[in-house]
Amino acid sequence: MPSTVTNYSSKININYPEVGKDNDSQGFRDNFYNIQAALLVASNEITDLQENGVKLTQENDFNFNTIKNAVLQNTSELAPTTISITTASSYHIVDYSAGSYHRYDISYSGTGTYASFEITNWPASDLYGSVKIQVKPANTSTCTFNIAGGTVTLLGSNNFPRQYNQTKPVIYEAWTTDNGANVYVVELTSV
Amino acid sequence: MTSTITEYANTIDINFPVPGKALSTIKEFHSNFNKIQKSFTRASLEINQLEITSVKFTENANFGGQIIKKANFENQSWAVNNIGLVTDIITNIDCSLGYYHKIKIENGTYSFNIVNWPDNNRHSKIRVELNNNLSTTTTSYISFSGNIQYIGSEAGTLTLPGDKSAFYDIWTVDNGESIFVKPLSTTYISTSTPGGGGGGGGTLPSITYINPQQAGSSGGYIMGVVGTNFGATPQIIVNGNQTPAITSSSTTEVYFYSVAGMAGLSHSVVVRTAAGDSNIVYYWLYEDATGD
Repeated sequence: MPSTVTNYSSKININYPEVGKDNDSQGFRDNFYNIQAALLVASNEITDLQENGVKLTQENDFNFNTIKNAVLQNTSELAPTTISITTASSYHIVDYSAGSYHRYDISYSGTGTYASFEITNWPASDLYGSVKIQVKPANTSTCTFNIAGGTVTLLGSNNFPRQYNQTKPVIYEAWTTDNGANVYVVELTSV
Repeated sequence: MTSTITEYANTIDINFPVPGKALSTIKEFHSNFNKIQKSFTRASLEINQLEITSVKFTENANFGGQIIKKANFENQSWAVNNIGLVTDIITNIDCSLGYYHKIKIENGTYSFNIVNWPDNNRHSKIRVELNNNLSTTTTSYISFSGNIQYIGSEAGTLTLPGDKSAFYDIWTVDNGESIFVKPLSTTYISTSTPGGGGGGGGTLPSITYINPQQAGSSGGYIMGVVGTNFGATPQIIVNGNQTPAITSSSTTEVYFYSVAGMAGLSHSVVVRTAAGDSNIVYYWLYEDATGD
């Protein structure tokens, strides 16, 4: 949107008052009016840039507008603080809007751990959203993990819930393009 | 860039008119109004420039290949390119249209050609979903064109149950000069067996790699595939491109001349026949210029 400051500033009579004429004081008022109006327009336009422009010094919420043809350098994605799982059976909301990499450490020392994860706050339909979930078992006793919510398809020959007897972290990548109605999951630690 | 409005604003005589002094000239008024107007004109130009080149939360932003540096992303999403059902053998995937490309396929031979990669020395990745458009199991022959290096498993025969999908991550760092393809799961993919040498025989899988041992030639190449029941119009795709000149075709033999880009040791060749690849008896390849 082009600036409209000159709609008023161009009306300023730079030749007022005129030489050898009985100049009406209205000429001064007209000039002052146009100066004030131009300043107000400039102020509004600068305010719009200040409120809606991206700042290098603060958080920027794009409200899912598209960033196009950009090259990313030295960027990162938010990884919320690791959550400790302290009970034998647990259910966890994985908030997509809170970050892209969610970590869980099982600190429950007993055997037979079960943890289920449901991803919420996916992007709107026809947008692709992807999130990684990392779960670290406490010991080699059987851990059972499940991803719930929508129609969840685990790629490969396995299905949820999945069982493990290992201490290495299990990492899943889950994605959707329909706001979580269909969620595809790939187990990164097995591909 | 710093604003230059003050170039004019600083020269406005803010002490004019001087109290208790008669006006000797009105030129000072003219001068001040002139400088005020020029200040506004300069301000307008600068605001214009900001409005044109600034990123706003309320609009899509095209960075024109500029770098976003040291940013931390939260609650982001990526554009989806819904290509829909493809019926052509060769389909372009325009990576400038999104990160995630959804393609519906049925029974057939499909070669995907990815276009509009970012410039050299930019890492760019896309994810491709091939979804069975039918509710029944389909068998397709999948290939990607270009200098492809498969990670984990090659493309090949894709047997998809009804409505199911297969996924591929595809990336490059050199504007598509070299392309890496990684299937996210091999459940539905069966990799074809590499074929033999240029003059070799044997069964030709739907996708194979032939090694003519004739690198660097300026001459053309002739390739033939001999079999049975090819149908009237067999189709041959070399390195993702449908051969431009099938000079002869019959129900038992097809061959073509001078396909560009055949020099080298590794090529992707797809032959689509009416009866599938089981009827192919043997194939041959030689360099046209020398007759080797």
